[in-house]
Formats: sequence, structure tokens, C-alpha cells
Amino acid sequence: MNALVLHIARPITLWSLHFIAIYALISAACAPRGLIEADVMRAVSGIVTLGAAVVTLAWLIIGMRTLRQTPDGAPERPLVVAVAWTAAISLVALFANLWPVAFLATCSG
Amino acid sequence: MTDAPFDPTPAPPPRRDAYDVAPKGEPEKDFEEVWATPQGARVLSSVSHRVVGKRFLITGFIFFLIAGVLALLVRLQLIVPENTFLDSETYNQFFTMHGTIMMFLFAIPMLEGFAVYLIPLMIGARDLVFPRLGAFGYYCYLFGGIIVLSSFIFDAAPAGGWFMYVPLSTSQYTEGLSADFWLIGITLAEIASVTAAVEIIAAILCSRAPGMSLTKMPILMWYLLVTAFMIAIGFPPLIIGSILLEAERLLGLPFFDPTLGGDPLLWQHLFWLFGHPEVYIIFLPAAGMVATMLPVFVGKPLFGYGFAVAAVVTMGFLSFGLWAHHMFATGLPIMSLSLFSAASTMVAIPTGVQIFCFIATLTLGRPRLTIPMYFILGFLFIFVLGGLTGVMLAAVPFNLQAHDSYFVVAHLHYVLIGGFVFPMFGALYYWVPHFTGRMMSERLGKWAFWLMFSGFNLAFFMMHLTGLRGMPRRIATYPEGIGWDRLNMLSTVGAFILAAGIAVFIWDFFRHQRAGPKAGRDPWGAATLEWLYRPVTPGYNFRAIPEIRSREPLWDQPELTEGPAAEIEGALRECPDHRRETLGCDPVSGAPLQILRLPHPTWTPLISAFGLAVLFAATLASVYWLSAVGGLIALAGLTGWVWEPSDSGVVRNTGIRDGLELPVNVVARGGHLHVGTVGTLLILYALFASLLFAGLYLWNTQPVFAQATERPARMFALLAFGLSVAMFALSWMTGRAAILGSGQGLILILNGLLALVVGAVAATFALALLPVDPWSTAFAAVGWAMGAFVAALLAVTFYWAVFNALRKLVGAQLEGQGLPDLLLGSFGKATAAMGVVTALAFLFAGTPQ
Amino acid sequence: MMEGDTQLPGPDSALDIYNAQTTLARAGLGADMVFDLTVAMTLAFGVVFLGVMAVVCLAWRRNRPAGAWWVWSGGIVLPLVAIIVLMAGSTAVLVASTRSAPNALEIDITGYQFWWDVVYDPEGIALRDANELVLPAGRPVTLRLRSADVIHSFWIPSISGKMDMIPGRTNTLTITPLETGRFRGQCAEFCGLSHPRMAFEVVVMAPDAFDQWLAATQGEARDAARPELLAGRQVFVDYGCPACHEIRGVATGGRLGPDLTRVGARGSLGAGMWRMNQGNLAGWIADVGDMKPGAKMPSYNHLTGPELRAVSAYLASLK
Repeated sequence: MNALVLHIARPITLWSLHFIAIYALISAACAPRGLIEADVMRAVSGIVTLGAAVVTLAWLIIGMRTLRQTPDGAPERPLVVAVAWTAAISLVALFANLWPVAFLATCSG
Repeated sequence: MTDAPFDPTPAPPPRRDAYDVAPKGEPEKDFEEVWATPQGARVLSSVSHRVVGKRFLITGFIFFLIAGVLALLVRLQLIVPENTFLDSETYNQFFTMHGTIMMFLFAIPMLEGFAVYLIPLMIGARDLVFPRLGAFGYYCYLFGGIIVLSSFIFDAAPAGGWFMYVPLSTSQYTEGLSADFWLIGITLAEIASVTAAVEIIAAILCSRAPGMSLTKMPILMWYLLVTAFMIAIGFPPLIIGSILLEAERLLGLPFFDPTLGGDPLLWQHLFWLFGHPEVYIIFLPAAGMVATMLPVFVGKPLFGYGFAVAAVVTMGFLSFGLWAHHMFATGLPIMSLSLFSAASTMVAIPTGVQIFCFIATLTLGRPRLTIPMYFILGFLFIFVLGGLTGVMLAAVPFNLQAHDSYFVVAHLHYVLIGGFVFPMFGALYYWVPHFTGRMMSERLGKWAFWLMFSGFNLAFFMMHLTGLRGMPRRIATYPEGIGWDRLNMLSTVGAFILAAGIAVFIWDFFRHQRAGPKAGRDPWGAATLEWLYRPVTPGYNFRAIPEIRSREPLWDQPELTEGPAAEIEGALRECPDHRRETLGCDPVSGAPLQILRLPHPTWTPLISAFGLAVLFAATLASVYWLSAVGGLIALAGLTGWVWEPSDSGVVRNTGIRDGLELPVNVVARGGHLHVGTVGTLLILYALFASLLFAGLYLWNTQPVFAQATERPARMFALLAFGLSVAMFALSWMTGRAAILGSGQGLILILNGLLALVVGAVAATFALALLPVDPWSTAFAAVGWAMGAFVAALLAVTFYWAVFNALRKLVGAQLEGQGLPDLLLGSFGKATAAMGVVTALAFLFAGTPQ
Repeated sequence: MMEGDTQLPGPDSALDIYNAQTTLARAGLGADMVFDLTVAMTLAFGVVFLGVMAVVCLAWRRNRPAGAWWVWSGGIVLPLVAIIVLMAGSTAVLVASTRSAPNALEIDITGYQFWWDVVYDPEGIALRDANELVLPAGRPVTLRLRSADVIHSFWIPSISGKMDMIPGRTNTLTITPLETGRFRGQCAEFCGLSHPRMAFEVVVMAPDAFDQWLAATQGEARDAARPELLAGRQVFVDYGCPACHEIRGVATGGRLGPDLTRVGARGSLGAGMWRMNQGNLAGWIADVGDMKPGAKMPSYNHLTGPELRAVSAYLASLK
């Protein structure tokens, strides 16, 4: 059960890191300091998102498979359900983070 | 999976002979006397969670009424255009105090009250694991609230909005003390929030009944657990922001001054980094209470416990990614706006999951339309509507029109009143029998509900329209004929109808204490443990702590409901040491892990909180010698608090599972004190991260000033780095030695060395910062703030190391009782880690001039 | 607090135009697009809301337990579809409504407690005015928004969304008025004591009318033609008004208060609050502290009656 608690927190923690990364990248590219070029920001964001999405998707698939294998009455089942659902919600939320980078041409729209 | 036998971490075999006494036991008292609440004035020394919880609830409700009256006065002023009922200054004070009190002195304390009162009862504990901390938090809240309110007496009520935007709240534009009342009073009251966070985390994780694994916890515990973590991360940005702003007002440090490289937006970032999660911190416990009550009235367990857990956990995280949607109009890059817009909409998903879990629960049985159920349905109606307008506001172009207009006022009241006040009233109706032993009136309850519901919707639905018709928020008056007259009139009428509903509740509350029918055992047919005893319950929570095999123990475990509650079999029926005790568990599996010795009534929390209040109030009044006196009182109180002789090293029979023997206050990472320490460190890390964010933010948005800032002395920064690493190693060794139960001599040497190294680290940081003038740029000021923060932590570590050494020397901590050093080790490691990061920042920030 | 008789709006002012300050208008490009967005979202979410309430009723009556698909569809699929549609629409509107225009007219606007300083074409003619914004219909205008003290927010609901004015920053907002007429704007960020009395009027003209207006307004202030006006001008100078107020051709350099070169031509007085006429001007000069608490200008209630009449007549004549 220790592992299951970890698995619940895992995907959404990855989402947090991803959010911080995207926020930092956008801030680095769009703030007065102009630390990086917009294209660099776009490329790095894409790679980061792809990596995070692949990992989260893997967790989701594993989570769903575990869910199918866990009988309804099993005591740990609620946590198994929660593992699959946090992975699903996190996956969606990952792509939401990428939204601005994907659909906006420049920092100013 | 469950009840895995506890694997004793390498704790030393306890030596019974040396420690086989309870240092603070009261041998003349039997079990009931040990748990009895002290009478008369000594009730102020009570640390019982039920006493403290009720104090939180009553005080919070009184603040609710005060803020409500302010809201009615605000509405009276707006009832007609160009009204002269209140002048602008008074109006500004009233709306500022309305928001401030509602957010800081009502909503958060109220949920803390429910948490403090309910957690031990619902998880089968006899008290919270840190009862003194709860009492301390309450007194800080009370004193902080009094400071904030007293500003009215001094005619210095804050008038800068509950958001205190700079530069309006700086000394240049707000002279006098009004802003200081806010900053100092609220910061004192916030201590209650962060202590409650530590308390809730440790209590839920470490003191559940035997067999109550995470999956068998009442769902409310998940909600509260996530809320507590959110408080631990969410409040620190505001605490840091408030301290920086107070430092700017008091000392002239230019954190937010754009002429010296500060940025007014930094305040907004810090404020909303707190302010947005705050909304979910308020909402989640209320939703948890709905998830607790709803199944009772449907007669079936909650639909989708696992879904709800996933939703609550994800919501806790997602809610931190949307703070800037309060700043859409500040001119942030469109790309940032879009990021926060997208993240904001994401919260709709876990919210939707929860709402549909609630709705699906309704299908499981035949719902009973009780008064709490009315409020739950009211919650569904209002909150869903508020959630949908929230999604509308996440759309940036719409937000640019609606932001700071009455549309937002409507939205936020739909979410907060729908998401917190309605569930709270439902919860009050539901748990009042537990507080008073009597039932409130169904008939009056319906009156209260319908008045509140109709009044609320009349008042606040109109505001959507007022806002779309262009009425900005926070205006004391508006011109006639601009299209807002009738809508405002209706809103005011609605507000008074809403108030009438609340008045009916209050009247019924006082009435039912005399005339209400007596509540029987488990009057609602609930499934959770707080209803195990007939209300009002005796001074203790559980005569013996029962084994838990189900998430709905009162429904599924007949042995709990058949006989008299006091005779139920369970752990710790015996009370050999005449101490308050409860069972400690493994954080995940719920397997019994240890016996927790709990404090008896004591004055130390009141004294410490009083000292702090003197410190804060004297600082407000600029009487600095008195501040020092207050600080010393607080330090003395806290020292007396933690000085008590150690209890660990004893093994006792718990009376369950064929004589299961457990150690008292185990020296292990899963123990409640270490979990509490980790919770505290989480708060400290968040405080530090807020400062780091401030530095990075200024570095990124004000590059010219960052460049113009003097770099700290490199040699000393390097030394500080090295010494911090050494401090980390020493702290690690201290913790390790404690767990291994090393000899007193070794740990004494480690304590001494740690104190020495801490002193050296502090000295090198001071020398490193010496060439930097904190008044030169905001960036430099943030550097000093980081240094000051680390210095404060170093001071604590130093005091702690000396303190532990002293306790060993006088015999208050014997060999093998390593708990204080385990905690010191963890605290030292964290402090050292922050020292390392600070030293690195000092090595590279700024330019040598 | 405010005198009743000074409240009456007049025909030259936006104060009496019902709905002159509403987001439910199409008088500007931004407001126009957001109007559609608002209607679309209100309808869509209205349907969602009624749907969810219907499901609650259904669930209440139903005795067959719901399946997990309820939560999947209601909790994930429904919000997700709504979010994607919403985000697509809002991103499109966002990009279209904030697009900067290369040849836009530039106007600098600076917020003060509690009034607005306006400079047309700052890089060119640098025409200074205050508390009223004259715009050409159909042409994009880039507003450069700053603050001289605390945070304000510039908002003309009928034309466009708002943008904050933050000390130390210059925020730009590009707006395109679509309809001619008078509109009311107001400060949307709480800025202190007289925050509710910090409004302004917007006059949108046909483009050629605007060009004419701009050309005609650049010169010095209208001369004081009559003795009474001359006397008024003398009062203005004698009492030190030029320390804060500029009247081109009479006294330059005063920047702490609004430029008064064409004060009499404005529709309203006191930053969009009262109808502009001599009576209100006299009331204002004598009693600023009451009409606008917290304003920096002292109340000149020590002026004699004739002095007050003369100076208000003079100011009212500046058109």
C-alpha cells in the first residue's frame, strides 16, 4: 500500500514539475531579461512535454492494467482506482500546460 | 496488505528498568479524571481537541457575524446611487475588513475548528497528537484577530483591500498604522493556520485506530489531509509577502519599489500564490463534509471513494498552478496568460469528478431530505453555478472585461458561500447534536435554508449582471442612471434576506439548547466513529480504542453498536501510568506502531501565544523594548513546553491482539513527532522557496537592477557553502545516532559540534552579506531577507542543539531516548540545505562593483 | 458628501447615456468579440448547469445505482469537451483582440490619484489633455498605460477589456473603437479614497472629424476675450494654479494636475464625475475636498465670490 500512495502522488507531482518548467521557460523567454529565444523555449517545452506525457501515459496504462487485475472487494482497490484516475487527470493537465506554446505564435499573442 | 506487522526500525531494545515510569503521570487520578477538562478559570489551560475545536468554531462564527454585519453595511451604502450613508474612508474600511475577516478569521479558523474537533473522533484517537500546538494556534488566532479588530477602536482600520496591493499599502500612500494592523494581526493569526496544518497531517497519518488503513479512513480525512498540505505550501508565500511589506513600511527596504528595482507585481504574485490555493483550502474541507454527510442520508457508502481521492489529490496540486489568473489585466505576456488560463480550466475536471461522485451517491439509495441535506442540495446548485462562471473567467478575453467588476464579486461569492458557507451550515446542523446533545429544529432549519438560499441568489445572481453592465468592484458610490440602480437595490434586499436566514439559525441554536429534543446515540444513523458514543460524550473520546475493519464501522461492525460504547473492546483500556495516551499507527497501513503519550492541561500554549502577541502588538506600536519582552516570554513558554522529560523507551501492553506490546513514543521516522517535524519543514521550505522565487523574479524582470547589485563577499560565501555542507553532515549523523540509539557521550559531542558549526555558518553568512547594502536595490534586499531567514533557522538549530545537550546533562533525556536528536537532525539537515542554496545564490548573484 | 445639484448630467456628457458603460456593447473591437464570447459561454454553460441540475433530480428519484461511467462522462468528458471548445474560442478571441497594429495612433495615458493624464501622439505633436479621451472610429489606437503613483486600471467597458497601470511599467493596450459616440470609462483597480470618482469620458469621432479635432486642438488656449474672463485668468495666475495646472499660452510647466487648456470643452468635470459647466466648476474649485476626498488639490474656499465666478467663467470658456 505504501507503493500505491506513492503512485497516486507520482503523476500529479510530475505535472507540477512540468508546470514549473513551462512557466520558467515562458518567463525566461518573455520577461525583460530575455534569457532564451522563443524558439528555444518552444523546442524545450515540446521535448519536456513529450517526455512527461510518455511517462504519465505509461503510468496510466500500468494503472489501468492493475485496476483490471484488482478484484472489486480487494481492500486496496480504492487506491488502485485513485492511481489510474490521477494519472488520467494529470495527462490531460500536461497538455493544458502546453496549450500556450502550441497555439500562440509569440509572447504577445 | 493491511496490518503488515510493524517492522521495528533499528530502535534499541528498550530498557524497562531505567524508564519504567511516566514522568508526568498523575497517579492519584483514574482514567476519567485524567481526561477530565479542568474547571473554572483553569479551562484556559485545557488542551483537549474538543475544547479547542469548539473555541475555534465559536470564535470563527463570531467573526463571521462581524464580517457579515460589515457586508450588510456595505450593501446598505450601495442600495441607491450616490448614497451618503457611509463616507468613502469608512466604506473602504468596511469592505477591506469584510474580506479580511471572512477569509482569514472566519473561513480558515472555522475549517480548523471542524478539523480539530472531528479528526480524533473520526479516526479513533483520544486527542490530536499535538494538543498543545492546537491550543497555541487557537490563542495566536484569537490574539491576531483581536489586533486586527482593535484597529477600529484606534480609528486605523485597514482600508487598502483584503489584497493589500502595493504601492497603495506602502507607507507613502497609506500613512499611519492601518496597514500595519493588517499585516501584523493577520500574520499572527496565520500562525494558527500553519500549526493546524502540521497538527492535521501528523494526527491523520499517525494516530488512527488499529486497522484503519488509508483506504478505511473516512473520506473527510483525505480532504483534510490534502488541505493541510496545501496550507503548508500555500500560506508561506503570503507570510513572506507580509513580512517583506512590513519591512518595507518599517525599515524602508525597497522590495516593491520600482525606482529601486522592486516590482509591485511581486507582491501580487506572492499574494495570489497564497490567495488562489486559499480558495481551495476553504472549499475542500467543506466538500469533504458534504462527502461525509451525503452517504448518511442516502444510507449507502459514498460512490467512488477512489475517484474522490484522486480528485482531491489532483485538485490540491492543480490549484497551485493558477494564481496568475487574478493578474490577467496586469500586462503579463499573453503567453503566460494563456498558460494560467489553460491551467485554470483544468480544475474543472477534478471538481466535476467530485460533483458527479456526489450525484451518483444519490442514486444508491433513497435520500432523506433532512436539514443538512437541504444545505447539500443548496451547495450543489450554487457551487456548480459558481464553478461554471469560474470557467468563464478563465477565458482571458472575457476576464479582461469581467475582472474587478461585480461579475467577479458574484462568482467568488457563489464559490465561497456555495462551496463553504452552505456546507458549513449543513455541517453545523449535522454535528450540533454532537456538541450540545440536542437536535435543532427541522421547521426552523427549513426557514433558515430557504431564506439563505433565496436571499443569496437574489443578492448575488444580480451581481453577474451588474458586473457585465460595467460596474467595477470596491466603489463606495456610483452615479445614477448608469444601469446599476435596480440591480444594486435587489442585491441589497437579497443580502438582508440571507442575513435573516442566518438569524433564524442563531435563534434556533440558542433555542435548541433548552428546548431541543435530546439526541440519541448516532441520531442520523451515521457510519463514522464520532457517533460511537451517545452525545454529549464523556470527557474522553474512547474508553478503549476499537479495532477497525471497515470504512463504515458503525454500519459494518455490529460489535460497536450492540453494547454500551464504554464497554467496547479495544486498545489501551488500562491506564497504568495515569497518563493521557492514545494509539499511534503506521502512516499508511494503520497498523499499531506505538503508544502516544499526550500532554495534560498546561499553561505553556497560552503563555507562548501571549508572549508572541505582545511581541507583535509592541512592534505595531513601535515599543521595541516591549517586543523584546514579548519575545522572551514566548521563548520561556516554548522552552517550558518542550522541556518535559522524555517518555520514550518504555513498552506497554495495548490490550489488543493477544497482548500486543508497543513502545511509547517510538524513535522512528514514522513516529508522530518526526512526521510533524517533516510537516514543519515543508512550511519552512515553502517560506524559503517564496524568497527564492522573489529573488529569481526580480532577477528576471529587473535585469538592470540585478546587475547593479553588489555581489556578496565571495570568500565568505564559499566558506558558508562549505560549512553548510559540514552542518548537513553533522545533522545527518545526529539523526542517525539517535535512531541507532548511540551512547549519550557521542550524541552530546554531536550536539556540541552542531552548535559550533551553526555559529560558524551564521558568522560567514553575515560576513558575506556585509558589503551588500540592502537599501540599494530590491534585489539586494531580497538577498538580505534570505540571509535573515537562514539566520533565524540557524538560531533555532543552535538553541535546539544546546537545549538537547542541557537536557542530557540534567537527566531529562536518558540514553536511548533519542527522539529529540532525531528531530534536531532532520531540522538541521533542512536548515543546512537551505544554507547551501543561499550560499550558492550569494556566489553568483549580483556583480562585484 | 456630494452636492445634489452638481450631480445632474448634461447633454454634452456621457453621464446621462444609459448603458454608456457596459460590457454588453459592440462599440469597440474587443468589446464586440467578447460580447459574442459572453453570450456563447452564457448559453453553453446555462445548458450545462440545467443539465447537471436535471441529473441531480434524476439521481434523487432513481433507485438503480449509477455506474462509474457517470463520473467518467460527467466528471471528465463533459468538462474536457467544454474546456477545449472554450479554450479554442477564447484563444482565438484573445489573439484577435490584443493584436497590435503597426500604424496605430499612439496615446500615452498616465493614471494619477484620481485622474488621467492623456498625451496624443507622444512621439509627434505630443498634445496633452486630461480626463477625456478622443478617438477616431475604425482606427486602431495603441494606448501606453502608466501610473504616477499607485496601481490603476484603465477600462472602457463598451470598447475593450481593461489593462492595469502599474508604477514602473508601461503596459500597452490596442483598441479599435467601432461606433461614434460618447462612452464612459472608469478606473477598475482599487486606488484609494476616491477610487469610485475616477472615471473619464471617451468621445469617438469619425476619422476625418478626429483629424480636424486634433489639428484644431493643438494650439494655445482660447484667449480671454471679455474683461470678466481676463479677470478670471488673473485669478488663475495669482492664486498659484499654474504650479500644478497647465494652460497652453498662459502658464506652462504645471504637471501635477490635469491640463486645463481645453477644460471647458470636456463633457464632464472631476474625471468623468459631474457635468462640465461654470456652476460645477465653481463648486469644484471651492470644495474639492468634499467632492473628491483624497484629491491632491486644496479647496479654494477662501476665494471671494467675484473671484470664484471669474475664474470658473474663464475655465468654462476654454474650449
